[in-house]
Amino acid sequence: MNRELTDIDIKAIAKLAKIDLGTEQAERIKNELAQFMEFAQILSDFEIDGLSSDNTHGDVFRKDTESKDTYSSDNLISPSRISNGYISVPLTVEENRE
Amino acid sequence: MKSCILTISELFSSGKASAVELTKGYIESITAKNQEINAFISVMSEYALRCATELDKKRQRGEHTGPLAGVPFAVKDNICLAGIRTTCASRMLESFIPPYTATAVSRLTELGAIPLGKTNMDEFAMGSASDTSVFGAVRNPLDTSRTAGGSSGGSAAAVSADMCCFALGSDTGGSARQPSSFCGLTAMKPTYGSVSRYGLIAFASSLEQICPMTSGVYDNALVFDAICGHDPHDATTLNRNSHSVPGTSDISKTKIVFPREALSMLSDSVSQATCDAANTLQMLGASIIDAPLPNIDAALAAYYVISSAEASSNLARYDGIRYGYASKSAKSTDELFVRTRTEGFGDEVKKRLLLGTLCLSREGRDAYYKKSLSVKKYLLEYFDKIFATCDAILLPVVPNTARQLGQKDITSLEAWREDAFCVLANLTGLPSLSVPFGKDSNGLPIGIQLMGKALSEETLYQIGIALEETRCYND
Repeated sequence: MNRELTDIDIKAIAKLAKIDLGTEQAERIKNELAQFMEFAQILSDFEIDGLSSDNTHGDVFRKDTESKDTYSSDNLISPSRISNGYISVPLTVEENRE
Repeated sequence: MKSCILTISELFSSGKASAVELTKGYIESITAKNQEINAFISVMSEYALRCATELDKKRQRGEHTGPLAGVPFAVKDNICLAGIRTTCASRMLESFIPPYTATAVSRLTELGAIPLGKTNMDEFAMGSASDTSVFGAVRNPLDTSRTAGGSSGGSAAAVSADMCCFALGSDTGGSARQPSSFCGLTAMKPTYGSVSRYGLIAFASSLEQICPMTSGVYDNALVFDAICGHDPHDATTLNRNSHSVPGTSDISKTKIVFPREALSMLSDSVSQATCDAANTLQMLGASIIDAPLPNIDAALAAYYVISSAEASSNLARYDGIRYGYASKSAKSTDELFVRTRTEGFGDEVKKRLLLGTLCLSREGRDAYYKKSLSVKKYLLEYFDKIFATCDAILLPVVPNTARQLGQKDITSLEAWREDAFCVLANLTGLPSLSVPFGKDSNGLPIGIQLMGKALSEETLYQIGIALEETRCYND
């Protein structure tokens, strides 16, 4: 477990969350979060099982069986065109090429 | 069998009372009690009476009016009704009017139920005492010096004080079951995907469900059947049958796990009531089996990591540009984001957003978020083993009864720890029914919960009705 996480840089986290904290509020929230992070050290007893940055999405949400060609720039649909005041959305790659 | 719904629908269908008369009766009750209880944020008197008038006309014309015709209900203020202010009890959405209605609400109104108003809650459903609301705390109708619980405290208080017949709440980590326990009601946290979340303002999408909150078990099953089922607007909904009202309360062949080690974590009165519930179930013919508890500290930590991480993502949309509150004093786009969120969110919401951001940071992701997903997997395996041979598991809802409002001698971590028994059902997506059973020495109700395997709501209702019939509570 990363011990540094219980020593929280609350201002940096607040900046990421786009929230401005006053000094007193920052101190109080920092203490409460540190208390929780200390409690959450219990999670270190659990192995990350079958989840890694390489396979998280492929295994958990969908099998990534599509050919890499799917993402070739030739096959991507280009931005929609506007005609007669309406956005015209091509339904297929072929239609887009026309 | 207690049934507010059957009583009212019988009054309406037999012509003994019109929908307008029934609705007016509840509006009078709200007018008389809401100032003290603070259960409702918005009361929709005109809207409700218009619905009631239409219903009366339909009946006069001899048209079918639906099984819930004339039954007035309340809706937690994080569930949308088109054209009606929906605030999430937050300054951020204090004047937000949604353009669409939640599927759960539409299903009830299509069956003739009449929405009376929007109920108070913890801000964005984050809390367990309904005291983080920008509209002030909800008071428990059974003892107004005490909390009604949360986050669906307004819904619980409204049903408990007879300000509506039933209510919809939402449950992300016990938010419907805990206030129901504090107010002497029944609540069902359904199997994940049973009830559409379309129109429920998101807090932690993988954990939450809309829940029926009622005075009795039978009514709860009726409302659950009305709102459950597939919805094309919510890709996570299941295509399941909607017949959960049990035909019998015979539980003689039921096997119920009762982890006795939980008793050491409870107050004396809750421990006694939970034991009494186990003994009563045994007396009714069920087999009671002891088993070890799962690691509930790990479950609690995982719940707060996952729910806060999802909240930090879901609530990123509140930036002052698209909808909701926008700071007037910002001079640049970046400043607008920061000032809007700083001024629009309350303390508890900010704390959870910061926790979520921390857990999703590069260092936090492996140490906390991914480990929490492993805890989820561990819990699923634990309950798979339990439910391979048993029908339900008996647990307390919370370790204590309703606290005094504004109690200061409890840290936020101690308050969070009270959710430990509830979060198990949310992390695993399994159904859990909370029913009142017994009272403490102050006369405050105690709740017990029955968790079951996925889609086993009918079994849980069957056990709940059997317990209710013993009338060991509310006496």
